[in-house]
Amino acid sequence: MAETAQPLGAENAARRYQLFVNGKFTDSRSGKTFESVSPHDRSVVAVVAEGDKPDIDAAVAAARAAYEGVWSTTPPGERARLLLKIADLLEANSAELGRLETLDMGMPMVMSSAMGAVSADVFRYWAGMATKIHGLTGEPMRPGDYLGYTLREPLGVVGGITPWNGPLIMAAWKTAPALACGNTVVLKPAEHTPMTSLELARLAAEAGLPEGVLNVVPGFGPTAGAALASHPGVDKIAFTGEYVTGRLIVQMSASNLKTVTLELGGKSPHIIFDDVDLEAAVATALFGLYMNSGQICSAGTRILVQESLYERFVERFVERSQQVKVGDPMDFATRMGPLVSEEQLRKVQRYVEIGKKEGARLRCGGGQPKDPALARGFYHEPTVFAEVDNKMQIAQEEIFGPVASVLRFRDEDDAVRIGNDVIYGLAAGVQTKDLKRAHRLAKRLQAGTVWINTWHMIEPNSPFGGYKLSGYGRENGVAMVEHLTRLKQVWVDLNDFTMDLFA
Amino acid sequence: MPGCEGMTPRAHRLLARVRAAAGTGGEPFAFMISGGCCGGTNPVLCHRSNIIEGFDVQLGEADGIAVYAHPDHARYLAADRFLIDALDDVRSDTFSLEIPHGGRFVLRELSADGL
Repeated sequence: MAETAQPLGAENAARRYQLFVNGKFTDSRSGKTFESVSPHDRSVVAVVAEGDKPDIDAAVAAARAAYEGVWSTTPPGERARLLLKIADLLEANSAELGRLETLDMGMPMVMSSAMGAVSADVFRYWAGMATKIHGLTGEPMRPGDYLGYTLREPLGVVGGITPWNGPLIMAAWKTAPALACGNTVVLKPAEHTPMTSLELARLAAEAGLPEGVLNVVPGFGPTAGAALASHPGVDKIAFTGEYVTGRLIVQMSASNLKTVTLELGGKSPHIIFDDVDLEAAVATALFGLYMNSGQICSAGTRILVQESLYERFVERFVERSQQVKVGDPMDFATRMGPLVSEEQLRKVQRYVEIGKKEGARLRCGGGQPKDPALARGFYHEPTVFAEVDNKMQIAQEEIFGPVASVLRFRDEDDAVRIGNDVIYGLAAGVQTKDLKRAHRLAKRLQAGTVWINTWHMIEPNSPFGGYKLSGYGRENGVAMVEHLTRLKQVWVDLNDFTMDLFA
Repeated sequence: MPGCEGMTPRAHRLLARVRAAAGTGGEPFAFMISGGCCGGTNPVLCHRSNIIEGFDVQLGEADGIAVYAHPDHARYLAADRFLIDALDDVRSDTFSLEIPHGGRFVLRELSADGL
């Protein structure tokens, strides 16, 4: 079986990664490479082959050949068996995959070490689905004896373009459903974080996935990403990222009318009523915001608190924010690691300046941690802005960092109005003990997911996606089968006579 | 016009490399301010043909290149004054055209007294 150029476990040397095309690890056609840098100390953790258009062309050709030659005729039961085997390997390698994820993007080990198992669950869910994808039979509306049925067929070659904020789970979301539905895949992982996607390819090959069925081509957006999105041999693109890139992909998809699903940004309202238990509400709000240093598109970044609870909530939320253990993500005690890159840190710093300029009250954080051990990393303190107005930029734009904007609301109508007054609609949340109110808000909030008294529940069997500028299409769950297959209608004449209209 | 008020020398040098690679007579460029998720709130260098006429809103310009945003996004950006700056870190989740040329455009706040 193909191997990466360097064995797992090399602690201090930069690992080397090649592209994975047609079942083999290979250099890019150009011979170019790029570095993956640790956000903890800026050391080079991997040197990665940089794919470009010719590599995408080769990967798409391999995926097409594998689709026509083997995968489209592989029985669903066999597809399921292979996906289950990949799941077992992901789980068995969970510790090492977590370590690579942490090296690559700074996700704390307490979270990253679960990603192998979480991704394995995605593969297991879709292994189950592979044997449950089928068409329907139907009767004609007109008189006569006809049999009608639909065939639910795969699309062909599916391109996946993933972000850096959850590299392995995003790779699982883009590959497992597509493979289960009988498609082959070309995956372009985010350039910050290619390692675990390439490890997934290695494990899939080890599980016996035929060559060409899954190809992974790391590279940059305007070269490799654009080549994939505009490729006439690709039938569908599943993209997770931001709005302008999503729009460029839609424009590029127009050439061959490939279908596109987009999971884009969010500025999710977390609505907290005054009937909650304060400690529980604060704990859920901390969880909703600071997971992965706030680098989750469905993070609860706009915290709306009922005015009668506002002061008490802010005081306790600030206290708890100051206690969040920020540090080296390799330490299992760390709850918040660095941001992924200098670009990301600069962006967060810029928003802190904007927030001050706009007149919001900076209640804690706002800078880099003082600990000299973290001085080289892209760290940012947990930061809380109070007295935020919903018209401010820090209330409207996705900061994608550990920055809370805490707003006031009067009553239910006010909460809905403020909650929905944003260009995104990925997620929303409500904390209240009033059951009826909670479900009323679930109906009225314009978001693809609504959480009640919880946050970050994103399951392989539940559809995830956005309203408004958060994109279209859904990932996970039965609904996704619609996005990865197409229908063919078949009609059979069962009558013993022939209708000879032109006699 | 509020919004983008130009670019830093570092951004200008990066843009010069992109222009040199594109040569003369290529498709004209535009900047589009990205929004949301991993690649959000950065100037994305794209082609003028990627801009949707009559929909996208112009927010100033930098070095002769018009800067645009989605109208709903522009409502919030319009009050802001910013420059286009550049970083050496080329990694980015966007399709911005400068990325293969050894840098990355970012936004930089312009304070009330200039830089």
